[in-house]
Amino acid sequence: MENENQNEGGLRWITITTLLLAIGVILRMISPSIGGISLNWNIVMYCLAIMLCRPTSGQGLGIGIVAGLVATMTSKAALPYANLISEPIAGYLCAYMANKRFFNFKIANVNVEPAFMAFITTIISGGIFVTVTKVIINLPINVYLYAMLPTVGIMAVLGMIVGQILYKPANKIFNVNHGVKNKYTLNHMNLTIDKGSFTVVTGVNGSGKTTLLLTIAGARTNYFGGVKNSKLIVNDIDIMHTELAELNHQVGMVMADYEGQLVTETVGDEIAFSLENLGLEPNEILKKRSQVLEMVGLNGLEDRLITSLSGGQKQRLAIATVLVVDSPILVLDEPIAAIDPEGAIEIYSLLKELNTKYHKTIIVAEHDLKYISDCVTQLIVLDNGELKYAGTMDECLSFMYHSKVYAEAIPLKSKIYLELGDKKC
Amino acid sequence: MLNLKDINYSYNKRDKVLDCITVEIHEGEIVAIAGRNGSGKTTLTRIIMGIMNVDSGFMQLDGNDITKAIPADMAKYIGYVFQNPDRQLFANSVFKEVAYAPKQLGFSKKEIDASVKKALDATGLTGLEQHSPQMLSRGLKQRLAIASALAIKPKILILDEPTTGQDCRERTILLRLMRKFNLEGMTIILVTHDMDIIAEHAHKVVVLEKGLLKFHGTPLELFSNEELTVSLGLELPEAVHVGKEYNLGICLTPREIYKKLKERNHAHV
Repeated sequence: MENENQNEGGLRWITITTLLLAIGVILRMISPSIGGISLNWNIVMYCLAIMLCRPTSGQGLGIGIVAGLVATMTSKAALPYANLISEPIAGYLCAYMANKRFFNFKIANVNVEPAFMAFITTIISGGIFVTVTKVIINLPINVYLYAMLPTVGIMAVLGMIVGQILYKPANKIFNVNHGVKNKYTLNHMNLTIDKGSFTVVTGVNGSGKTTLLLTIAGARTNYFGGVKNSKLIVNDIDIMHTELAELNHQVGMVMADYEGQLVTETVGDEIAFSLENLGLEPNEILKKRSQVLEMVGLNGLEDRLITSLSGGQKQRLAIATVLVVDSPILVLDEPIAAIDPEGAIEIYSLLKELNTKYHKTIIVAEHDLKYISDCVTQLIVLDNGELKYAGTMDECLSFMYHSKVYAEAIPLKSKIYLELGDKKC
Repeated sequence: MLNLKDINYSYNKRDKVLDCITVEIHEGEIVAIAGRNGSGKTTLTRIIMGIMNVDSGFMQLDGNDITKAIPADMAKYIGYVFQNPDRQLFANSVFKEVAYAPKQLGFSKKEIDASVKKALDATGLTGLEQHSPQMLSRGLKQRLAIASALAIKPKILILDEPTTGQDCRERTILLRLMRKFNLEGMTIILVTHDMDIIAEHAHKVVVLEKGLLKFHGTPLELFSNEELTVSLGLELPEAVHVGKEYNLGICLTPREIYKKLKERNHAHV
């Protein structure tokens, strides 16, 4: 699983592009032309818009078409209609390059992406424009080579300078998050969770645990927005571009407020509800229901009222409703908060069994690390949206202890081992 | 200071939630109430607060009969912090939230300002007066709920699972606050599942099971008896486990372990 997370508003890209293109038209009309050469504001503006919003290549094509129409109407060139070909192609390629971050590097501590993007886009657009003009009007090759192409080059250099100068203020005005670290809930996170592993995610409240879990379960993109320029693959499925209905078969999630997840009156109904939604036959539902209640140790309680269950039992029921879907991955957010110690031990031994006996991949967010030592294969600590460490429990605790990252969470036993170990050294 | 005698409470006069509970709480104590989910812990605190009325039994606060008291009467003496702070915060600013209770009790404007300032100071929330409670983090919300309870200068503070949903950093801050209030003379009733907190901070533990009082004594007495502890759905605190592993006897706090380890090392040297 790979995940890089950024915030992206729905129609923001359209608003910004329209505004910048409009400004571009006005500037183009009033700009002086020296010897037939003037800056092509049009290209610089949509190039800026694309860098601010990072739309998909398809959306870039759309921007290019609009820019082409605008240019056709305002251009004083010999063949304005050539813009209808050159701008869409340039818009498409510009968005493609912006997404791949081709030029995302620094010279003397300044990010020069705007300059390179404006230069290359102008070259592409202008190059196509003059070539089309030459072919259609059938101009002499000498004019093409020694007048038109150099003009494109000069315009590109001008565009490069203006693009670089304008990018920073434009970024400020439109308050774009790109490049501002703290604004990401999850920041450039690269993480691999093996099949059949038991992963525990820890970190202070607000460090991004729940966001990570919701993202893995697919809820983050589908329900709450966000997370667009990222890649997240679970079991060979690209979560960012998959319908939730399909994802439900891959990832089951138990939320922090697990009681909010229980909707019916009795234990039996609750399990049947999940199965009915899958469109199973009644006898199959009954069969599957008793299987899953057996798995979580609630067999025989089919007719019990959910309100009469203990906290631990409710949590196990919530797990069961997710288990019936047979998803290979199970995600749980703080499963033992507000559950008594006995219940907490039960929950973790159940999760361990699901992991070892039924080969479920389990991902849990947890503060209380004293219960997990028996089952965990990978412990992850997050801080401020960044992945600080991922490794075995011992390695991770040792990292937390020495680097003082959420060291409060280290269980007393491990802490004493670590301290005694240190003294021996 | 607070005497509960033969308290009975049931839903619909049938399902017994509390069965003949007798507890005595002295001034300046930290009393922990423990037990499985559904054992009646929260019900007991609500009865003390007057939110629920007993079927039979007798309650006394400083010699006054409070058996039939209603929350408005008790609010002068007892601050109550619910398990989920979201359910008790309603004002649109931190200041108004904390000022609400003193206002209701008819404090003068000067007194209100002074008590709000003191409560916010005590909980480390000074400077957030104009913030919206809903926008605070979980930990700050919990502290705000405590500040609102403190504003009326209660003699008793009831905390219902204050560390639930808090991370370990906020947990430490909350416990330090609780300790501080206690040292200033406040009596604290703490409902919790966390045995480490009980072992480290409580003077007395009350363990309920299915509405019955199953244990009433010091943490040391409770945790020395592993069999009893486990049978009541509890577990030994981490410190006790570690102490046993290192053959240090029963240790209730990490500090005790460090001290004993140190002494032993000295003895070896």
